[in-house]
Amino acid sequence: MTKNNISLKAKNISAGYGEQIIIRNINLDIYESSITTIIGPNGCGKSTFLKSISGIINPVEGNIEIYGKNVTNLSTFELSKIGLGYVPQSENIFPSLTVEDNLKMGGYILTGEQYKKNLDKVLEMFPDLKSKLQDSSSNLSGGQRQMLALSRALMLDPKIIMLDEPTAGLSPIIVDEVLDNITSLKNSDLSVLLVEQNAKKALQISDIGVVFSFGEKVMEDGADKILKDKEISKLYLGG
Amino acid sequence: MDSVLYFLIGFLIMSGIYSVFSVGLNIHWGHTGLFNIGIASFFLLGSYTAAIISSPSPSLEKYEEYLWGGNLSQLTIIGIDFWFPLILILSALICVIVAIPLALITIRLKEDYLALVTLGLAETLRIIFVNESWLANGTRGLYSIPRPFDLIDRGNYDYIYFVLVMITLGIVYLIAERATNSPWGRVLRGIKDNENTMISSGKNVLRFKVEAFAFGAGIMGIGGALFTHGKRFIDPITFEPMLATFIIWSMLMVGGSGNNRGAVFGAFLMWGIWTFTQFLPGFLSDANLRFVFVGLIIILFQLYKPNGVIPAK
Amino acid sequence: MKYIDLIFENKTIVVLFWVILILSLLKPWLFVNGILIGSLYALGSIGLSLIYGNLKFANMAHGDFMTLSSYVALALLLFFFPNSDQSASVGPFTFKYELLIVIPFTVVFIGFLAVLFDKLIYKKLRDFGAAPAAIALTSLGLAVGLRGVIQFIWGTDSTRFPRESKLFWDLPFKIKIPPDMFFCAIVAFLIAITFYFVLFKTKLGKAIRATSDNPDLARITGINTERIILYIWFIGGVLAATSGILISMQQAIITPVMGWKILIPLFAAVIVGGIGNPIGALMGGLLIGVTGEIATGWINPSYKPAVYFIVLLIVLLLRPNGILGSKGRQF
Repeated sequence: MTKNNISLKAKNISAGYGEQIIIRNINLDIYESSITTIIGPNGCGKSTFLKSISGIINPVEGNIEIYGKNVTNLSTFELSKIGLGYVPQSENIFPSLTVEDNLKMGGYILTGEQYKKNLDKVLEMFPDLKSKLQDSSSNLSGGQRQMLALSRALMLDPKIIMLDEPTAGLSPIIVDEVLDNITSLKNSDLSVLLVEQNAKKALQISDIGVVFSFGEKVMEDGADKILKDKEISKLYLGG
Repeated sequence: MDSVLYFLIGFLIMSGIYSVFSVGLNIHWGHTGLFNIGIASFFLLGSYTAAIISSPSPSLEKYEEYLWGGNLSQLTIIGIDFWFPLILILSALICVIVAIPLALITIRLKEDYLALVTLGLAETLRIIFVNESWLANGTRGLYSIPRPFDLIDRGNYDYIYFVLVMITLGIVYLIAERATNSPWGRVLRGIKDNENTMISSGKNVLRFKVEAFAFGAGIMGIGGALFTHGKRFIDPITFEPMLATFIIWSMLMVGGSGNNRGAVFGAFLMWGIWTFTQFLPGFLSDANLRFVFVGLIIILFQLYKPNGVIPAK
Repeated sequence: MKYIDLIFENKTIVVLFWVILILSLLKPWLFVNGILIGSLYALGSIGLSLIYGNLKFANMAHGDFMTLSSYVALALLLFFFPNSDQSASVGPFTFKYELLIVIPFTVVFIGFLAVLFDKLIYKKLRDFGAAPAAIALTSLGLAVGLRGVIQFIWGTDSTRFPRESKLFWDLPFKIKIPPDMFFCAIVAFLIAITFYFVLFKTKLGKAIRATSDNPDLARITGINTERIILYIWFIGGVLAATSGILISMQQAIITPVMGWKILIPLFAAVIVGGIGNPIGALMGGLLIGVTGEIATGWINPSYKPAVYFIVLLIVLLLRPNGILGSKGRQF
């Protein structure tokens, strides 16, 4: 679809919880310097897909490659070491810790120097956090929390970053802010995989759009094409 | 040969008594998932109830300090023989009465809280009986407990008691089986397997758990009463957790949690090991190694066979 | 059960607080004793709370770690310093210098032992996804087993560290303190403060708190949560071992059941303070200590365990989440 390198390949992924299989035979490639957004109704398996890649649940079938390396059964923290960043939907910060400590945990495996460098980079991107470094993270507003969650993931300088509904529960102005921040991530070789309920706005900043339905991938195309598609518009984008 | 047989009968009597406790614990843990580590509480309550009712009145010459003994064997109208079943029932009842408020306080909370409370209760009851000599003669204990169905000579009495224990065990077992296979029992099993499903299907889970706790406690009370008339001497030291709680856990683990048959089997097996290891040579017969063994049994079975040797159906 | 909740609301806690305060003023020496003993309970319950809050089960073997550490310390003392009976005791305290040398080695040993048991036993249960009660039951087995080993090696009689009798300190308000008690309390506070420093100021401590908040997220962040769990066991073991030895010093006795007997007040302290709340555990320990000692001013001292039990019951009835609130655990 694009000429960029493939950073992540998901082949035939089926996964679920216990005996319940939620997603079946998902095939998806993620590219460098691009944003891929998965949309679809509640319960169609979008979050489950992200969890199966990030090691939170193990796929029962299929495999995953990151830059050609098979990573299917690696544990979550091993995956973060090789450059996979993940921001879960809810409970994505450590409420007992200060803002700075949250970021420190984000850079847990970095050396002292790397940590300082990445911290500066992240604070440049999210200057609002600078003044709040010593505050308890549980006192942040919804939008600030999402920013912190995203910054935390960026501390590791990931090559691939997955975000699960980053705009959930936020007011429209903040939604735009968050999506702007995500758009600016494209400016390095970063691959962004987004799962969003706010389908229209998310597709507007994306390169590739993917539609899930009842645990299967039913459509994949350029994001602009999906936006124009009449059926998808009706079903998922509010007409 | 006679004394070997007599020894064996003694062993079988205790195995039978422990089987009753094991079945009671099975109702609690095996069946409903209630974590009771204070079996000693109900063992104690059942034992002392039976002992106090059937002990003779305190005699000042022997410096006995307790206030009241039911003195059943002297009742000429109905002797202890006919009182015996009533003693068992009364012991069960006392345990039920104590169990219910305890259950109401803790069962609405997470399961491990019940463990702490039952643990504390066992210790507290022991302390009460040690210090309040007017209850049951304190540390001197009660030792004039009469024999029910005292029909033949003292030397051979145990054969009769063996029959009594087995009959009681049989009745308890049948009641437990009936209960666990009834709709009530099935709800309990459902609670153990998946409490949330039970809650959403509208069952008053708290009520069932309290009932299960009371039922199991009553059974343990019966075990206590049997113990009293078997050993015919009890004091607070008898109810140390090792032989009044932990070993029963190991019995259930070995025999099969969730399974009354397994509970009985486990009791006989573990009591057998406990009794017969005292004949091993040298340090192997050290009682403390039995402690270690009981502990190991619990650990190993939890790790590898949480359902015991005879798994639940 | 609503009417039970209605009857017992905040007012009861306030009333109890004033009752304890007034009784303390009537017999202040009991209050002082309570603080001194309570500080040792606090050290024990901080370790217990750490494990309960992070590993999510009631560690029934905690007490026996405390017992084991006392026996191991004694054994090391007698082995390496067989003539310690004759040596001098430290200042106004009854114990010998050699004991102080032996203690760090003992507690580190117990810390490693705790890690070993996690690798052998608890990790497997975690990987199964065993329920908290099942894990607690297994720890009960470990408790029984440890006690059996202790009794097998050292017998069932009581013993104690080599000591020299020393005078009590006579203070105003009829307060008489054995200097040992004071020493042990100070040490307990120092260790608690060190622990808080580690927990709140070091990277490891923050990682522990992060794992406690959200283990999945911690892993996503790159924290090796299994390694963190081992650290938690080590720290928990060290805290248990230290409090066990201090208690043996303070009470001048070592018995095979001493740890087991303390489980109820320790758990009461943990629950009062809120499971997983390290500051709460300290407060809880002090509260339990004070309550127990104050009670002996009016009732038979043998009933202290019953007092602890009643406190436990009251807390479970009124505030199962603890007075200071626990982390995320709902009842």
